[in-house]
Amino acid sequence: MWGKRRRKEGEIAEELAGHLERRQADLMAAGLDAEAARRQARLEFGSTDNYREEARAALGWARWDALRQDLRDALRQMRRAPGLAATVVLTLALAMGANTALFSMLDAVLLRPLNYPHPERILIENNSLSYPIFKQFQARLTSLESIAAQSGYSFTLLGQGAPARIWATQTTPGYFKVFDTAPILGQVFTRAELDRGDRNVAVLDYQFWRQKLNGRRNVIGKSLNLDGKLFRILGVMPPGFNLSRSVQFRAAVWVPLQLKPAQRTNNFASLFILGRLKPGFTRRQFQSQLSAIWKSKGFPAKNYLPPNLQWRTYRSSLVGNYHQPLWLLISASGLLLLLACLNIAGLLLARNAGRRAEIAMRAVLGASRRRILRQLLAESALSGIAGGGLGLLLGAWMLAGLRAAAVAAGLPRMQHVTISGISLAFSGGLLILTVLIFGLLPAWEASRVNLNHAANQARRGTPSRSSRRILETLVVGELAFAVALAFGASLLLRSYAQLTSLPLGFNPHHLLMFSTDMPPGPAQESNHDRQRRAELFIQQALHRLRVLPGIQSAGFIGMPPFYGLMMLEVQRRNSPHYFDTLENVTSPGLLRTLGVPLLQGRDFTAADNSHAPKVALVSQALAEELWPHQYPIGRVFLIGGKKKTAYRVIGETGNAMQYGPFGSRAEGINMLAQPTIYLPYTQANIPMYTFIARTTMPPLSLAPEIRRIFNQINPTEPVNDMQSFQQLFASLLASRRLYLDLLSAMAGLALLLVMAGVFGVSRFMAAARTGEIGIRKALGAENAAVLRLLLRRTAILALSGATLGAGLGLLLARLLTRLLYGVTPTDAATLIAVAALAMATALIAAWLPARRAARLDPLAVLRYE
Amino acid sequence: MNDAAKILPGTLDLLILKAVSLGPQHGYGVLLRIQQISRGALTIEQGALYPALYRLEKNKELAAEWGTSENNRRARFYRLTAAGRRRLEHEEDSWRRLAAAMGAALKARPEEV
Repeated sequence: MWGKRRRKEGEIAEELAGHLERRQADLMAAGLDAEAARRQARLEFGSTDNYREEARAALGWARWDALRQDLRDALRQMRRAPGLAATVVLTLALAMGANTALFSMLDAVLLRPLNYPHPERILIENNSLSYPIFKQFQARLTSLESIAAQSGYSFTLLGQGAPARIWATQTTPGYFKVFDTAPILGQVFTRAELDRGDRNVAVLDYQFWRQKLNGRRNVIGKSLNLDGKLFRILGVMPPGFNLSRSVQFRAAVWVPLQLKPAQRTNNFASLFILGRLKPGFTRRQFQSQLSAIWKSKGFPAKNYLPPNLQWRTYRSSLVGNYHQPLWLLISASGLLLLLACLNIAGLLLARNAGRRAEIAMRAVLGASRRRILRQLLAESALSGIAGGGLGLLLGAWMLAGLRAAAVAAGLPRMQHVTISGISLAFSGGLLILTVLIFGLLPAWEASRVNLNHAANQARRGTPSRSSRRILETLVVGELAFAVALAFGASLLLRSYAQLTSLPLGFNPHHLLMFSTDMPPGPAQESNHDRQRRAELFIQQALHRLRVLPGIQSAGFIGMPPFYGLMMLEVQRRNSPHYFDTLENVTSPGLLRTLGVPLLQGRDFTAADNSHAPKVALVSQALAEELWPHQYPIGRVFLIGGKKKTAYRVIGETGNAMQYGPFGSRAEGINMLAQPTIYLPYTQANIPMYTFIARTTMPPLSLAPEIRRIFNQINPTEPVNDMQSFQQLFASLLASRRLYLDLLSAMAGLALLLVMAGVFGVSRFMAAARTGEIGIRKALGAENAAVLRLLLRRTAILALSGATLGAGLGLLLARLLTRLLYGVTPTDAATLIAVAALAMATALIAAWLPARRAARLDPLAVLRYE
Repeated sequence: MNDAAKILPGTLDLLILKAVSLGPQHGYGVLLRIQQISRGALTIEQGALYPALYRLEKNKELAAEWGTSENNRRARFYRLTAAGRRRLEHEEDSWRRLAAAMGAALKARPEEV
């Protein structure tokens, strides 16, 4: 635009010059000499500058020129009070950025409709159920249009680079009808196909197809090698179809449900059932049909399912857990936005009191009201644009961080989150409106008052009683809010600190863990042979690991720490009582590797093999339950129902935490003292193949070497979940961490607002009392006394704000109860600490301008007055 | 030039439109044409011509483009647009009526009142 204008300016100059030349030529032709002709031509033309100016006006540029002037003035004003300008712009940017980012997250996770036709009709049962129940539902739930059972599964993908583990969803053909979504390529599997016996087929996830198969369209009909079996690729689902909760367990393929014959008849509850409601049926009708089925004779699951099975909508099962925390956060951030608006309003109000004199002076000197208004508008608009632009950048940056943290915490639908336009428009609009309204206020005031009076009065900058009251209320409100947020954040912080410093019963540092699977065996392998092969594999792997430099010790464990353990009932010999206990399977040396102490007896040895007598280690907690105050070594306990197996205790271990300290379930249970038995891997079923090593170096630095070793001894199976124990722990606490970080950030922001607000108000009040201060000092008041005088008011405000905030904080904490651990929502010490911190912040912010005012030279002040 | 009348405010646009309606002209040409058609009776301050030209151009009553003048110099040529022609007709009309009314009024004698 400016370039175009510059060109036009050049053209005008050329045109006017051309005119003069022609006139000169004509005059010369009429007999004048060159010099006289030139002079005459200029004379006749008139003032070139003047006419050029008029020409610009004629082209409609006058308005632009005036705007430029206004903006230049506005910049000068901002430079004159850089602190204020920076505060306004930064407040705008921070509040807008935070709000936009958080609202975008809320929008992506909770608000945006699911990407399926009529998603509200997709229902899912919360409990996992067995296949016989699924068959009953399928036959009798006539209010459903389609129904499907699904279950998670993991495959080893072969033939696409190194072996890799992928997650799969095993499902019945109804699945795709429930979601009512067609593949973008090929087709999905149908009942007819499966009935023909064609069961090794797969439908691909879009992301998997793009990343692993390069998005080639000719993959349809080709085969995928999963666990050594060939699956024919049928189709590819569209990008938004897969809403797997976490990135980690995102399904790469859908394959037909394959059950062992026993699973078809027993009550092994391993399936999630979902269905699509027929149009015209209500949730209530569906629910009554469901309870009728439950009450009917022969319904197989009465003894372990609650009578009122609750099917939730798919959306609510996906994001239900995040409802409360997210709404809480967005409410807090909305309040923050409001406070930011009020804060800006307060700052501008305070400044305006000082500017009324200037405005009145301008008006007296003849500036039109319109001109003054435009001048102030330019100032406000400049702050608005700067703050808004910065806020947009900040919002995008915050959202990127938020996305990473939220994906790590397992929040669904966050992978492709983008800035929500509505939220940006809303928060940006609100903030900029604030700046405009409060920026223009003095012009409005100035136009109302008697100019002469104002010009005399306003010079002293006396604030009106009402604006002073507004400002003080604002400070109290800000403080209260900051205290409440800081209290909530501190409670979360203390919970987090508690969780991370819980005694684990073992040493969590320098532990490296990873999982794999044993090499595939022959097709018809007996259980005994398989067990034998597993033993050899584990021995070989441990042998290789233990000689690796950097590894102090290594062991094998059937269930990695915090993964979840088998529950088991054990009993003493000749006693009808059963005791619940957790069970794990280990190799010799595993407990020493973890650092779980052996209190009495001995660890497993290589001699405790499959031919040797069955032995076990018991945790202190179990030993105390089974044989209180007795020596447990050498005693025998029984496992199993009808056919019991006897195990002899050879050692007692210290208690070690088996479940991670996550979820509200952890409250009230002594997680450390969960009774546990350990069985040697040679004498028990091995559920998973996990190795743990204690390292002398940073654990992950050994990962490449370990992968190389396993690639040698077991080339067909991938090494998965290679991580340090610290990483595992952090990932279990990721969602807590997310809430903690967000709330802390908001509390910090609120404290910043308090600082800015108090600073502005106290500078304003100090300025307003300059005259008074001058008189006091002239009469002999000390600096310190003046300072006290000025700070007293702030102290009163801070105290009322903090008190109000304490009440507000207790309310907030009630909402946070579910996220707290080891700290009560009414923790007094925390509350007092944050209140004190907020008050100190306020006083420091008030102290700076007060000190400046107290140091004023009384002579100078009085002369000025 | 002394006996040339200063033009009435508001009539410059009309004169320019009239001058240009007789054929596309550059700025200096418009000036000469006005002097020619008013037989030297009307004079305008030369510089004032240009703001008026730009205003008319901005109102889309004139269109302008760069071309080559009779002495092979670059010059900006103005020509009448359809809107300009309409305005010209309208203004000519009202000017004639005004002139007639003024003429009649000034010819009036006491006994006619």
